Amino acid sequence: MTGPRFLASSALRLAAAFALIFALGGALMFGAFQWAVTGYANNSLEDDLRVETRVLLADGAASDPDGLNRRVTARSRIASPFAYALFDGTGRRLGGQLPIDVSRDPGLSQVAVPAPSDDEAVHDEPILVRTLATSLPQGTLVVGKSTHAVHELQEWMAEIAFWGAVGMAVLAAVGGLTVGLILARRLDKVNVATTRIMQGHLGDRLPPIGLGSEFATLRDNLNRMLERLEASMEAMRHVSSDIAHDLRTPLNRMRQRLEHAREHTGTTKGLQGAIDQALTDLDGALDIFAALLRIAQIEAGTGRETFAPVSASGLVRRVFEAYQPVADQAGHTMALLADSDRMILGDEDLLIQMLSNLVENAIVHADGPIHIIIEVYDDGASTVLCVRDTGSGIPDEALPKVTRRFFRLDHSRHSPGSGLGLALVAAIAALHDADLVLGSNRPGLTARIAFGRGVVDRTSTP
Amino acid sequence: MKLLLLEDDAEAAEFVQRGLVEAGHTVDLATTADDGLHLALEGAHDVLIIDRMVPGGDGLAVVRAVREAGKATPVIFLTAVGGVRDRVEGFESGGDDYLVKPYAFSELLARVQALGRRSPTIDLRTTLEVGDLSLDLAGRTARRGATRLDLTPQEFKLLEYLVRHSGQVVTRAMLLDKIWGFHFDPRTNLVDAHMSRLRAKVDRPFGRELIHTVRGAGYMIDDRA
Repeated sequence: MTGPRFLASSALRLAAAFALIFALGGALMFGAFQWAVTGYANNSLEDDLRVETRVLLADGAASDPDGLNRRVTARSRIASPFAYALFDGTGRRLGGQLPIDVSRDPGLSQVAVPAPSDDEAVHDEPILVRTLATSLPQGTLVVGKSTHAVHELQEWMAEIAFWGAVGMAVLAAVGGLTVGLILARRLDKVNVATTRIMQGHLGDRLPPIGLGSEFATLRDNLNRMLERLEASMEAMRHVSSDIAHDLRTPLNRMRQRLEHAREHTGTTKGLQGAIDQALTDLDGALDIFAALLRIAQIEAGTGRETFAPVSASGLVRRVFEAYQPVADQAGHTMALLADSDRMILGDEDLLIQMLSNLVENAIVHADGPIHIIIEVYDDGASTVLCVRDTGSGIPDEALPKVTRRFFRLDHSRHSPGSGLGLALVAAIAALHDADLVLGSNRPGLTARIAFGRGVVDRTSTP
Repeated sequence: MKLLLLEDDAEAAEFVQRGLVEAGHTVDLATTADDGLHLALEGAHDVLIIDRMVPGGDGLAVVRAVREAGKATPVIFLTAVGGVRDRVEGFESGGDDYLVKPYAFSELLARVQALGRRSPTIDLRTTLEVGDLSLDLAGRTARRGATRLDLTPQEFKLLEYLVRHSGQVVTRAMLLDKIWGFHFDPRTNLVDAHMSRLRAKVDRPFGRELIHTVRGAGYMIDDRA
């Protein structure tokens, strides 16, 4: 089986996909975090510059360059994190350590300062200094602060982002692999079960898959499907053996008759009689064959494409007119009740055959004179074709079985018929999406075929 | 009549051919679709008997080609497939009749004779007669001699069909098809029951029988003097 291998690879793919998604998500999250923190750090640095400037210029120091210069020198001396530059109106630097080329335009800017040689962390790279220039009545004050701390923060954050994303990806991969393997193991059980079913253990069902209600529904549906398949295969097996039996019976009779005639019949007339009998037997077998083929074709849905509107009362009238003389000759009475002007969407040939089968059943299985009513009426949205008789009927317990192929009531076993008539009726009704209901007419049988969706009202068609 | 039989099963073909010849017809036999089409286009046949499944193509295609060549020769299809759709297909491609295998030879013979005798032009007759039986097609009335027969529309239809094929055997299956539109084999003696009613009106009161039962085949209306 390639199943486990395939599932293993699907687990791997699941893990890889999880890892990728979480790595991207982690990177994105840490990136956004870093962006926000850096922005905050820069803002606070700028706030520091503004506060320092305000402190230096307090008490009217702005208009006292010498006093201001003293303040700057004093603050530079006390290891302040700030750097300064004080320019006079001509651009000459009066004091402070910031380079001479620092921007004197009012507002924020930045300048590169050579790194102090004793600082190991930043080798020969210049330090970036954020500056704030303020115009004075005579000159400009520039306050600067190194961005080194912000850069360090950024680098540190990048490292966290990288390792965070890697960690999340690893965790996701492990999770994906675990889920995949759990799934694979569960599906393995299902595969083992299906293999057994394929090997012929049709009664077996799939084990619970677990993992939640969706999988439970899937398993239930699959098991229901298996149940129906098993039932239809069982039915098929049943039918096959019935066919074998019901076809062999007339063929066997025919064989015996011919054999007997060959050995014991001397006259031409006798031989002709035997041959006629054999032909009758052969026709019986062929009729069964034709009926089975027809049922199979109908059950396969053949004929739906040629459906056309058929007059409901026209149908029953045709069948009534065809069979009334037959019933009359057999001593039965027959009545027609046609009370519908609706059209049925269907196959006229098959609908006629369906009604004929029901009427013939009544005639053929009657023990004595009976009354047969063939009827059509509208029942709300549906149109009902109905054949009722006052014959011997069908026992209640046999009603659900009589539409099966080859099912025959004991007392009808010796009357003509193949046991396929009602199976054909059921198949034709099903083809037309009609409901066939067999019931007791007390005495006798009532067969109702109700056409719902397939009925077209005559008045609605021009 | 001159007939063409397209049938690939040699034994079946020989049997059918012999039967048709014994009935007084001449038969051209073809075993492949190409031969069949060639013969059908060359010869002047009265009826073509075409098997649906033959080597080298479908009998349907042969008939379609014959019709496209402008020939209106009546066609009867023989087939092992008897579904509703197959029958419709047969008629749509230009077939006139349809017989499902296995069939009784008498059935084939009766249908071939009915097809061959069919008048190719439009029948303009308004009265049909057999012996002293006359049918007025316009008024839908029938008389024997001077006596008017009291027939239902369905009985008239049945009698008309018999009279139109007078002197020919008409099988039960043909009547089921043409009169009742039944394309299945009923389990009851439907045709016989109707025929017995018809005879009670057409023959019984008059002493001389026109409608005859042909044993093992069907019925025939004939004035056997």
